[in-house]
Amino acid sequence: MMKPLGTILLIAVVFQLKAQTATNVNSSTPFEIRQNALRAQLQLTPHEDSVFFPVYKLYFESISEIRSQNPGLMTRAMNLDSLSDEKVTAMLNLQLSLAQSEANLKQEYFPKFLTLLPPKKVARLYQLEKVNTQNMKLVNSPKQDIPETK
Amino acid sequence: MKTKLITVCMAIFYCCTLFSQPLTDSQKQAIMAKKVAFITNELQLTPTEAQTFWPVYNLYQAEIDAVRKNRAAELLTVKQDSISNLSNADIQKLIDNEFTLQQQELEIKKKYFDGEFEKVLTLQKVVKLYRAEQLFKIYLLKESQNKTPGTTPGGK
Repeated sequence: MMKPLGTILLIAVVFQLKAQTATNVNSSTPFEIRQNALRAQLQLTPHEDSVFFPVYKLYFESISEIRSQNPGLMTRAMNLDSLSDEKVTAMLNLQLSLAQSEANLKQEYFPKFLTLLPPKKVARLYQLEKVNTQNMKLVNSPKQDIPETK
Repeated sequence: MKTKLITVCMAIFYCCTLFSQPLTDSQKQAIMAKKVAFITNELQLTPTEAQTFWPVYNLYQAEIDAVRKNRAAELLTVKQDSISNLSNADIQKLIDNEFTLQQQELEIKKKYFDGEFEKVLTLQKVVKLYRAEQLFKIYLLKESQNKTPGTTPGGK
């Protein structure tokens, strides 16, 4: 009597573990997704990996915070003609200020990265960051706002 | 899921490095013609506005081009193979230079979007111009992906 019950419990535990693993894979944070992409591209040594990613995480969180303040100018859903001069000026100033903050952040962190990784890997990181930014713009733009290409 | 994301990123990086090869004069002219048409459509300029706007925009574009000309051979266009041939000192210099040029470009944008364009456009159209420039970059990126087989935005 106890044996079948034990088997059922064991199967239930195995299924539960499997389900949790699947959930974890699908619920990777944006940082983890980025981290995995960089791991695949930069080919860091275990030491480089351990010293680089804690600093990169701070950079990633700061840049995400700056980007989250974007006033949403880039979508055509926003009817700019209906906004007052004061409002559009404030939005444009914010946009320019965020662009400056992002540039400042890069200038602050890339010298730090150079103390943690060989310059060649930092150069590669710079290229990958740039491409990732373009990629994010493409992915985050509402489909109807992306002009059709021929 | 992760593998797919990495593949998409790599495909896009490949497109971008292809796209960032130095352009020929005729390619530049073709892009500028598309850009003019795109901005004209986005801004819905009146003939009077067009008359005063384009000379200012051309000055802005010339200043941006002058900075980008210096950037053209810089970090993003240096292929991965070329990076490994550069000395550490050269790479450090490239990175420093990249930030200097990036800041110069940002200063030009501030000068025009927070001043010069307001003299010839309504504030709403200045913001539309900013948006049009961003959308045009996305358009070019998408176009470069479509030209490269197997690297469509779907990333299959």
